[in-house]
Amino acid sequence: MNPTLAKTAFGKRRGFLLFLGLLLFFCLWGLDLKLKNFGPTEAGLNVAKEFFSTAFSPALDYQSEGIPESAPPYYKKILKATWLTLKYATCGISLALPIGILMGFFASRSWWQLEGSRWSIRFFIKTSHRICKIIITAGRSIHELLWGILFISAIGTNPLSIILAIAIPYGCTLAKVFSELLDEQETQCREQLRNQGGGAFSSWLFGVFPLAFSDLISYALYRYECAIRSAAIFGFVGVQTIGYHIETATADGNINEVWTLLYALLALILVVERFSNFTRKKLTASQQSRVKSSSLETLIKNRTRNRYLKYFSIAVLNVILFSWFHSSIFPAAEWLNDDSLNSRLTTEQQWKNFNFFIQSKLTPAPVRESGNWADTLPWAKKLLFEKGFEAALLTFYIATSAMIIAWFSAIFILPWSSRALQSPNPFSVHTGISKYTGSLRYCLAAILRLLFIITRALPEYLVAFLLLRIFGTTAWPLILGLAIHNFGIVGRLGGEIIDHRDFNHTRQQLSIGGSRTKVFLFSILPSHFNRFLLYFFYRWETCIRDATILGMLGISSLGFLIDDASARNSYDQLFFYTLLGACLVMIGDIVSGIIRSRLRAA
Amino acid sequence: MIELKEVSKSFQSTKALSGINLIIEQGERIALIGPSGSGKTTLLKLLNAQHIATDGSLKVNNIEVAKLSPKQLRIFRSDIAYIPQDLGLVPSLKVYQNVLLGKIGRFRTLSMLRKILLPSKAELTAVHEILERVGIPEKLYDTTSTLSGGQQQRVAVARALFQQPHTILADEPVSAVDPARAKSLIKLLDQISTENNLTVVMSIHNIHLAQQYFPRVVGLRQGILKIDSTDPTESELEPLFDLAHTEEIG
Repeated sequence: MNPTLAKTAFGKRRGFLLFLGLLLFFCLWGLDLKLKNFGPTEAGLNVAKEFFSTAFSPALDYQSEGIPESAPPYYKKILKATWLTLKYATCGISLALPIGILMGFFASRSWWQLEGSRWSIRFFIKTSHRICKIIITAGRSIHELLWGILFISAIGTNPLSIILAIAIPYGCTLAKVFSELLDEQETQCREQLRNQGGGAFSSWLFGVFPLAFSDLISYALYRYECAIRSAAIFGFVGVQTIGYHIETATADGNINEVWTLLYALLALILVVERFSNFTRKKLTASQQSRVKSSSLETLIKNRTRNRYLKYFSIAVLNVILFSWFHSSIFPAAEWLNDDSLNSRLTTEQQWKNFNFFIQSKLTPAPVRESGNWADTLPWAKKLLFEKGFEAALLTFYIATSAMIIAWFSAIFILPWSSRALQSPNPFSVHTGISKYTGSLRYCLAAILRLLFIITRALPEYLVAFLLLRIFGTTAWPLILGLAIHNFGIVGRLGGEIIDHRDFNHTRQQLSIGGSRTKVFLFSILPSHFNRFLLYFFYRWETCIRDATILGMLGISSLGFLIDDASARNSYDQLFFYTLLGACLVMIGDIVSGIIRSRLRAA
Repeated sequence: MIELKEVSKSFQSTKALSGINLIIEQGERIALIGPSGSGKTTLLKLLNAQHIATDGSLKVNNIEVAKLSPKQLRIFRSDIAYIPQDLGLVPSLKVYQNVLLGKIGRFRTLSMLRKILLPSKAELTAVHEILERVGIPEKLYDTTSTLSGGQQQRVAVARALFQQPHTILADEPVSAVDPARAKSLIKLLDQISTENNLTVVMSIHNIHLAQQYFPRVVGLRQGILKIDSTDPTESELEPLFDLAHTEEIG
């Protein structure tokens, strides 16, 4: 065969898949993991049996003996943990939203109209754009849990520390995605409004913003769902959210209580997820008048109004106000306050603590002693080459291997979980299968989609924490924890591609005798391969960020070093490793950004 | 009055228009014909000041378009309605909102926002009257994306009329509709422009429609003005689209 033809026949896609496979083995080798060691230890197997056997009998009361009589009823404890999780998520996201909207606007180019404008205006716009981009990247490259540790160390155990820890990275993530969503919109409407004499801002406001509006709301609600997961995880640093109770119940061996808490968390996330879907449908619903009359009065009287946005806004505002001020609004709701964080420091004390933390604790130890900032470099070099570099590499391996496993598993499951493909008449092509087979296929697809929803809803940190007891202290629980969560996300996103797009070529292949699996492999996958890859890189960059904190569970990686430094009160080292993690995330961000923009353009 | 003197427009090494001389009086209705790539869209975009001529001079009501400041340019554009081929309607907005946006160049952002979100009875009446003229008053509150292609074209015309311009520029607005709808839309524009003494310049592919409905036909080929006639014959117009001739020239 002609060598050029042979090269073409091999194909970039297959080459890339092979590369991913090899990269997975390289990462596992780098982590010193062997596939034959994959699996629970004997003790872990017993833990797993015990854990899963109690799945259908969650605790409805305290499991431990000797609970003091003054303890609140069990349901109140669960309710409070659930409320605190929701409260921190709501307060955090309510601060993150204005940050996201404002910075997202300045980080977007969708409103730019540089032609014909003065150089000073061009300079101002471009500079503010660059500054915004840098702040956004820096803000989101540090995980919320690390922000939390930093704020708690700086201003003390105060609810504000947790709220800020959620608000900063979430605000920056919202800003990044908002700017991307705005930039991805078609520009014809904006151009048309400019051609009618509209200014730069008003043309953007009426020509771009309405097109992106439902996507913006939808993404904000998705971040809210993520904020609930993050708030739950803050339990692992002592905040009394669901994660805190899961940790203590696990330590006390109260497995039934763990299930109750897991179900409460799952229910909370699923309610928000369903609400988000419902909202999106309502906001994108088109309206057509059923009145045939052309009289203005009749039209005004009978106009169909979408009041959802109004009710939605009122509901959101109420939830936010209640989250911030519930004790003031309803004194009876005082018991819902977080006892663990009520140190009630005055603002002055907090500010004093903050200044002290920045000026002395964050200063590298050798500089504190000598007063010479030139000592920073040898100190940083030592930290980097002794432990930092290896930990960063391990973090990269964990994130990459988890993402590859998640992506391949999701792609493998997709044809079985797709609503469109598993319908009795896929893509409206008659297949002649019996009602019974049709129902079986439908059920299988529904179960798999539920699996995507559940795995997506579970926080990776929590899954890794539970898996550690089963698999022992290797990197596998961390990889699996990340992989399980991302499997759910990629599966969900991939399902949306198959179920919500029109595939003429798929229909054609089915009409000439292709099976569902074949049409997935030879029609759907090749035509949307770039989109699937886009999801891979989008999640990979997030995986790197999440992997930096998973080490806090006790596995050697950046998170482990950060946790260790925090336990030793070496805040200078904590800050150094946090920055190292941020650098790793930024590199991942840049690589992913370049590849994604090329994939979009391809 | 629109006056073009030796107007040329180049995009890097490609010359889209070359030495165009044209005078368009207020109230004239002109069909701009020519094959794909002949420079029709470029000429319309020059008239709307979306592009600036590389050479020559373009004056609208004795104002040199190339010398307008950004603010003056916005005021200039608010007097000229431009209907692009893709119509440029915001699909997620309602019909009345899209029509109200015709005056985006005349109001401040906040004022426009108020009109879009809370239109007054008077504003709705004005929009309704225009929708009546284009034949779709019952669509006032419909989401624009739910309308058929022909109905969306009418909304684009309504938006142009609401703008109260002195000139309407339309870039192949009838290329994607059946002949009956094409005729109906051109008739509508013809009637409205006559009633309001509006200048209409419309690019069009169909020679017969151009001859039938437009008092003046301007023909372009490879960026050069080939025909400018008030009564062109078919034998004069057909060579513009002659492929053999194109290849010969090319």
